[in-house]
Amino acid sequence: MKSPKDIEKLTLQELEAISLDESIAVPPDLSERIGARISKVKNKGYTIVGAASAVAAIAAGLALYMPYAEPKDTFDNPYQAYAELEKALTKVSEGIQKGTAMIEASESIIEKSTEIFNAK
Amino acid sequence: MKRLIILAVILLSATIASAQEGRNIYNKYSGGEGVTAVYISPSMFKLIGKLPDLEIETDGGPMDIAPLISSFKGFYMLDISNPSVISEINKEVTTMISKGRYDLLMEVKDEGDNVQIYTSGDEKTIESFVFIASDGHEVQFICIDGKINRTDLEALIASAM
Repeated sequence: MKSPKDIEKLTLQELEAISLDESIAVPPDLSERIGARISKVKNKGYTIVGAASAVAAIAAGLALYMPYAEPKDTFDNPYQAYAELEKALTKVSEGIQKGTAMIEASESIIEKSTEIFNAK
Repeated sequence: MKRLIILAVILLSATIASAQEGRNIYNKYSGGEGVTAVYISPSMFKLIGKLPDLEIETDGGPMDIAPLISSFKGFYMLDISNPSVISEINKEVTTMISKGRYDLLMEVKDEGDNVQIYTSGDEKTIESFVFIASDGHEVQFICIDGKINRTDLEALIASAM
């Protein structure tokens, strides 16, 4: 029986002559064996592509998720955490107070302008 | 089927992204030079909610704020004095606001001091509250996430005045 290396060395004409030689018996299950081999190679290819896709999906998921990962609590004591929250809300209130103070100041200017306008 | 899964992942990512912008900014800049960072987690808020005497004075009388505080899902604060970080964070906030999820509640500009307050949510519920104050040398970024009753939060802020 020829080895695969010997078969590779055959020319097209020699291969054609062998295929036309009816004295050489073709195994009855040859088609099925070739089909099974092709399916095995195809499935291996799909498995590799599937694994690569899964890895890419996980990497993309991690890249999207990491910025949103939960940070570590700054305090381990709820009293300290509440004190910090109160300080922050005080700053927010001060900002809002500044805004409302400016609105009140502008209201008095508008009132005066309206009085002057109506007096005319 | 594959397209449905891909679409679901994209939508979920967008939802997570839009819901966690404060966290994204916090994670990016906390730990940097010239940055003081404070984070309070939902678990810590639940513990705070169990503290005794969590009452504030309102026009309608004393108000128990424990349920309100328990509704907070995250508190992120950054105090920044590093000029390069300040300019970066201003860009981040501009990008965050440009996505259209936040409404400008108030803006105050007075002799170099700038204060901006943004909220997202609907008429009754605030999902995210963002406060940015700068005086030219320092920027303070505060973000509170949660499902917060708007009226209760307004009362809480008013009580701190």
